[in-house]
Amino acid sequence: MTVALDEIVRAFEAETKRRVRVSYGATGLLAKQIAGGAPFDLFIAADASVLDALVRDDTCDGSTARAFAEGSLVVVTRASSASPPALLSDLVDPRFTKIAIANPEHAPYGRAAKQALTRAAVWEAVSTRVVTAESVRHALRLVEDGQVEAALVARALVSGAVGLDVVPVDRALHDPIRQGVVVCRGGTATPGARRFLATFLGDDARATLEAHGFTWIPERTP
Amino acid sequence: MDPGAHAVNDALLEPLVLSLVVSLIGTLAATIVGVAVAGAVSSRAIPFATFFETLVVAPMVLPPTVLGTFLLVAIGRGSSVGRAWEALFGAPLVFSTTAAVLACFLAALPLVARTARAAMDDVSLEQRGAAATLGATPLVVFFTIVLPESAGGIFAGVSLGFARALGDFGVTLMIAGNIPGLTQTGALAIYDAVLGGRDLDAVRLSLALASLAIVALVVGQRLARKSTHGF
Repeated sequence: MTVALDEIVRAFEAETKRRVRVSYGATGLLAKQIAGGAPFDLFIAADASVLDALVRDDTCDGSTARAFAEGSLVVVTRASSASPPALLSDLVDPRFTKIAIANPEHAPYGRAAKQALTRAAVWEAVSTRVVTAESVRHALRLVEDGQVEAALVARALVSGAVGLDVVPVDRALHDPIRQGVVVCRGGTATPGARRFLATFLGDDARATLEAHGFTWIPERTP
Repeated sequence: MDPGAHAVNDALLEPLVLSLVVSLIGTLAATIVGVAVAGAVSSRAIPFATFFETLVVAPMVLPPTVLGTFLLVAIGRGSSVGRAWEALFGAPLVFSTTAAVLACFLAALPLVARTARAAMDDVSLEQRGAAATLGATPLVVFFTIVLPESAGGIFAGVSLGFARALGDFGVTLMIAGNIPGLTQTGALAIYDAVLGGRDLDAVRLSLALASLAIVALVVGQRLARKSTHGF
């Protein structure tokens, strides 16, 4: 979401002459912080289900909550080292000494990664080699730095990354990774947030997101 | 007890046991190194000893993220140390239980070293001097006079170091990772439980870890008192 969101934010700032401050972090951690009163105006979550609790206790405005896109997984390897896996099941090869995924406990892409490895019948074989990173960004850093041979990360994270081989993971291997967005009450700029939300759900932003590998979820007609 | 409850208890016990094991080993190593460095500095007989003392205390004042980043460069898979380790043992040093022990070692070392040095400095020059005039070398003086006299302070430092090692988070996370069963210590398990919304697990683990740390401190204090008063 980082690269895609940066583009959308830049376009918004140029058009409206308003400043947007973005805080990037793991979805689970951000949700905890918002529940604890952190003053964010808008929350874009890699897992739409974390919004449920925030809406339930009215920390965020339920009328604005929306699952807007589905993310996808890719396997990333450094172009200069281990040759990329053609399929997920290739990861059992010993050349992948360490494989990073985001933490399946609380990171949506980590959960999807574990699901995919399980459904591809390779989890048992590779689980001892799996390093659970704090987030997909951390997992990507680990493979970029050579601390692990391969990482399963969000497709949107690797847009434009150089020196990496990217192999898509079959969508059928994991539950949908639904991205959600909601306006929160803890911030001080709610009108601005709503305006950004409108842009974020508009056609230009949609095109940007789709260019980074997200699948748009159209709004359900009431 | 039904199987569900059993599974939960096992799941909570595993990180606590791991914490105890890696903290004990790490603190033991820190005690050996810390006492040696403290002894060298306190004896004033070893040149550049103060430099080593600064090195040994540095981990305490560096931000954990700085220390973690530095360690990843120094012992990560691209480093000479990392590659040598991997060649020797067939598995990387980072993201292993050994790396978790290293994090505990670095957490305990500054506390052991500083407290030990303060206790050793309390051993009077007269006591050291008297032994020296009888022909004892600095090393013999260290083992027969300085060490027994400062034992109380050393025990206090070790218990402090152990309690600190038990609670290490940042450095452990960066160099050992958060791998259940391998490197997920108590502090990391609490983090997982909080982020995963398992608040009851988080509370249980926190109480257990805090109790362990407090017991360590109390035991250390008792040993410290016993040593200085019992002749």
